[in-house]
Amino acid sequence: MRRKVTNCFAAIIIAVLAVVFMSNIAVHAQINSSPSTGQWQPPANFVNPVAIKVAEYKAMNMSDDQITAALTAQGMGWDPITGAAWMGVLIAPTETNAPQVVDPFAENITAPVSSQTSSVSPQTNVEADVLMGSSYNYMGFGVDMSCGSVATSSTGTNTHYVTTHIGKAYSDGTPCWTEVGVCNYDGGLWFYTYEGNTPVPGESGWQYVCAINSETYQNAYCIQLNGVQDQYGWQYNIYINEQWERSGHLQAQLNSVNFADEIFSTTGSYTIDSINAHWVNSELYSNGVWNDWNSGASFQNSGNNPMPLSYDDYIYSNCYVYDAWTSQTT
Amino acid sequence: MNKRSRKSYLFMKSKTRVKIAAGIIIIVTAVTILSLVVINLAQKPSREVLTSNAKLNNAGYLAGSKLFLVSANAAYGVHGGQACFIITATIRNDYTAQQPPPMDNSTINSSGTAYIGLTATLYSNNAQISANDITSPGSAPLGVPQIALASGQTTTIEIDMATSNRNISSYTIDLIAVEGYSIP
Repeated sequence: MRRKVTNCFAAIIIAVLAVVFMSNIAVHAQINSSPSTGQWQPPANFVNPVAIKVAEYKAMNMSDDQITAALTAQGMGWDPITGAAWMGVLIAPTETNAPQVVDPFAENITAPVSSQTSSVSPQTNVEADVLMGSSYNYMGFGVDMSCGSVATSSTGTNTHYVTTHIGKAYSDGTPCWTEVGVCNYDGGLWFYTYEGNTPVPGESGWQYVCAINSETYQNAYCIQLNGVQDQYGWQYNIYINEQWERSGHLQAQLNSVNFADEIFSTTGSYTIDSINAHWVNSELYSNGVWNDWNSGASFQNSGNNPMPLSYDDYIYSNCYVYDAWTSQTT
Repeated sequence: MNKRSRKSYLFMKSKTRVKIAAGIIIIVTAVTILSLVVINLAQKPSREVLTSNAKLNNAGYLAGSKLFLVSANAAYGVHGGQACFIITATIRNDYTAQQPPPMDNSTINSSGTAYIGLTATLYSNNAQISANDITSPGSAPLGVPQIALASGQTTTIEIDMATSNRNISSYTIDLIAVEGYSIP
């Protein structure tokens, strides 16, 4: 009888552990086994196609305005002062070919109420990151990432980014970074790049590249500093699936890297992901060499309790693998 | 060993196994509960505070923005087990749809909502002291919480600066990010 009781206890414990384990697996099982694009690295001494065109046009004695017009006609853009360049058009708010966004506060505010406390609660954001600890040794990263469902809804998460960052704050604490990833604004999933507080204010901001191809395909993302410092800062290039998309400047040559799942909500409720974001084949660029990223990472989050985001990280194929997904509504 | 004593021996053996199993279950349960309690306590900032007389250096509009620092108070306390200088700042957003914060090609039609990040610089006898902002260290990419304020909205924000210095004479509230969209 007592042995049966013991066995019963053991069975219950095993069952509980199995349920916990399987609930974890259930999310992971939704990842496609689509082939990775591999650990691609940008070619040495890469010169972006916009810079090549600009050099050609300058040799033809074209003015900056003429060059800008010629580039625009070819789906390219540049900043004549800093040399920053990008593919496509940095989309203005009036354009219709970008994901349409509704400011979540717009309906709640009828007029500025100076010096009054509004009834609108501050928007909260929650992130799950894999960070490189306290190390600022990197001039680039490469990673294959499937963005997952990047879930949003009218009552839950209103903005959702699955992204990658590289940068280093200025000495006064002001952050300086650039990034590439996938955003969800009102149900539209887009590849995007972004610069935040870079040394040239006019360069900062958004680039919506195009709609994403698949929630589960592992697209290759890469940002690399080329080691060149000009009067505006350290030059970098951003690539998606081995295609150059943007160049700009960072304030530091050596930077920190992280991968992040960021969710925003004004309601205090979040939208559960049906498919998790998945980063794999992570590599770091340092001292002119690409290395597998398999040590020194630490996980951090915004510390909210309870935490609506879940995560997992482990080593596979000698590189960190990182998964993150919204698992709870609050 | 006769049949009776063998039966008794097996019974005793079975009894021992039950005791061991029960012991393991109790230990595992106790360790789990203890771990959860410790984790929970570690995540809750202590509310034991000691008021500071440090002076605020910069009331008014922050760094040329339309974010108005209405007031701030400070105290010494503990956050996440670390000694801290804790600032409670009240901020008002005076951006409007007509005069929005930077939009940087975002597709949002701005209503004047501002997404901001705040930290602080601390001074002791006019010398700046080193202190990390640990309000929410995992908040990428700002490193501090990202707060959204609708046009005209006023809110109160806590800033936790890790330092064991108990002679902070003054402090400055620093606006490290302001945009018209959720900063990615």
